[in-house]
Amino acid sequence: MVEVNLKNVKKAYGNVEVIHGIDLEIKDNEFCVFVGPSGCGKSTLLRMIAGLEDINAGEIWIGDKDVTDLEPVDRGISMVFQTYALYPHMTVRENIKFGLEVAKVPKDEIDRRVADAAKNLQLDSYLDRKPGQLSGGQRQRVAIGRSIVRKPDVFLFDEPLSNLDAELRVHMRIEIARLHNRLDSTMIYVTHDQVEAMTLADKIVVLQAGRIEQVGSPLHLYDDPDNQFVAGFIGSPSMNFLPGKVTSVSGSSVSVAFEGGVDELTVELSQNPPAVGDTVAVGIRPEHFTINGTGTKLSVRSDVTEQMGGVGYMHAYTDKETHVVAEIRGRITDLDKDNVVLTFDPKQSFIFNQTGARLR
Amino acid sequence: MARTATSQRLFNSTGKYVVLVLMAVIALYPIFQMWMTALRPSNEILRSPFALPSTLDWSNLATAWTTGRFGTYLINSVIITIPTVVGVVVLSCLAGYGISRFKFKGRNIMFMTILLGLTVPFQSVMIPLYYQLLNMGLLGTYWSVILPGIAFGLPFGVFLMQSFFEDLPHELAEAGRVDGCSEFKIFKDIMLPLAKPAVSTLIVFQFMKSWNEFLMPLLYLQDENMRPIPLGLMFFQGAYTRDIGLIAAGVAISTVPVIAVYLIFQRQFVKGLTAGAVK
Repeated sequence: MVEVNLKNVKKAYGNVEVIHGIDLEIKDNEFCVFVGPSGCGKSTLLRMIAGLEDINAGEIWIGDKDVTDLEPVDRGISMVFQTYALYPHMTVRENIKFGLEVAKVPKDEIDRRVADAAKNLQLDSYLDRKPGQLSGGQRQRVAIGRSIVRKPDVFLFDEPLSNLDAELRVHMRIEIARLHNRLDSTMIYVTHDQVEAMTLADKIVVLQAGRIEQVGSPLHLYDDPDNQFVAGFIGSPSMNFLPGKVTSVSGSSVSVAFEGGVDELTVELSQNPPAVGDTVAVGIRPEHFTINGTGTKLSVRSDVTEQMGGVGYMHAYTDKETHVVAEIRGRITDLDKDNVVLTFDPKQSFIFNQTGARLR
Repeated sequence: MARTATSQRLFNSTGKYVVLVLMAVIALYPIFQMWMTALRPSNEILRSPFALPSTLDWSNLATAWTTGRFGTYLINSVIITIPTVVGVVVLSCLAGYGISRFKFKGRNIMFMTILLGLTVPFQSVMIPLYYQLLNMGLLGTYWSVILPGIAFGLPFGVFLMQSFFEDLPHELAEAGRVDGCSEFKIFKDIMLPLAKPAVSTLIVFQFMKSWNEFLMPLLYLQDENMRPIPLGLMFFQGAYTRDIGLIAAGVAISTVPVIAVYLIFQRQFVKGLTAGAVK
């Protein structure tokens, strides 16, 4: 059983606190992904778990061991770096076995583990090459190989696919998913690419400015975001937000007049309903729009349409120039571009208050 | 149109080669002339100083080696140069790595102080250093040239190594830490092998500097048997002023080790010079 537990972990550089007391539990064999915009602290948090960054407060537990003050090698972790960090002067074989040699693993055991890793990662024929003679994908596999031969309790990945081209990225993403299935290990993965997060994760941790915004399964975060930040961050293209004002509140029924709305949006908000006159944001996912369908109407001016074949993305603007993206199944044809009416089901919309908290 | 572009390209590349050949001739001609002078019979030299030798005459080299005691000077130069180069390279690597990798209080001041050494000419300290060496009982020993040689080599060495280590990706050291390396093992097995171009550059620079050092041994090594090559060459020149062939032979012998060291480290040396220019 190798769980990872962070207890009120804080990190500051000088007087500037960058990680503000994070509590997090990652279960055994779980694939946990940290996502968030640049500078949100996701890599710092991973490096703190790895032991490459000291922490200023709190505790880090891996399994039943408090590793807060332990060196990386004593934590039972291995890490795949964004730049792979392969030793350029060593061959692939030397790179993979270096950590085992440092740990003084018997030679025949080292050879066996290197051969296993090379076979699993299809690196057999590259073992005597130097990293400089390999392609990006091969280097990535060597970095993973170096990581798995050590048989760590926890695998850490710091944006491992960000240096690969789009095609290779998809391929390596699947390889990593397979690796997780095969090894049954706890994995923590940092990325800013939410497609990676959605496809790989058992659990996603959304971070912003050194704080956890929400933790949950990918679909839970997608369907039930706690706040405007998570709602906007998870999903591609992102959720549309239209400014609005509460016009009436009757029990749990709330009506909102929103920008571009042909008619008012009426939704049921059972918890903390807003007061009349409150400013809110109405959130609608692009795929919840239809053209000239039934439901609440939104009047927009179409700008550019990206036709992908099976699906099209219409980029449009409201009369006050708020950008709206609508995902339309099938072909978008015969459109009066200046007068497009998008419709959506009010039950699929989200309402956020001025602080960005979701009103449910 | 295409023809014009082709001729333009041809002209450009020919022009480049002409300039490069010219520069190479300017750089190599003195060495060539020195060897030609050393390898010709003495009576030919005054008759036509710039002509090629009619026959290759090795007697000047043999005479310089035996009569001019160049064998002794060469050994003295080796005794002085090798420990100086080793000292400068080892200490520069350690200091350069330490300053680039570890963030500690006073790091910048320490680095600046070391760099200040680049601005101190030997002439400004040669007399106090003389008395200091005298008091320490080192005057007249090889150490009187080796130790100051290391001290004067360190500012450039530390500067070179620090900038090189600074440019190496810090993830490599972190990967080493995750792999369980101690700080010294990270330095020795990961970072230092990658610094080969900078180390080679430093070896070549420092070797040339120590090999050609003249003033320091002149002041601190009074024993004739301890003279290194540049000093020996000066006394040799004084003794055989009129025998140009013999002097050229002495000079030629003194350049062999420097050329050899350069050729050995040449490939890495060029890499070291351009290190950090592009990632």
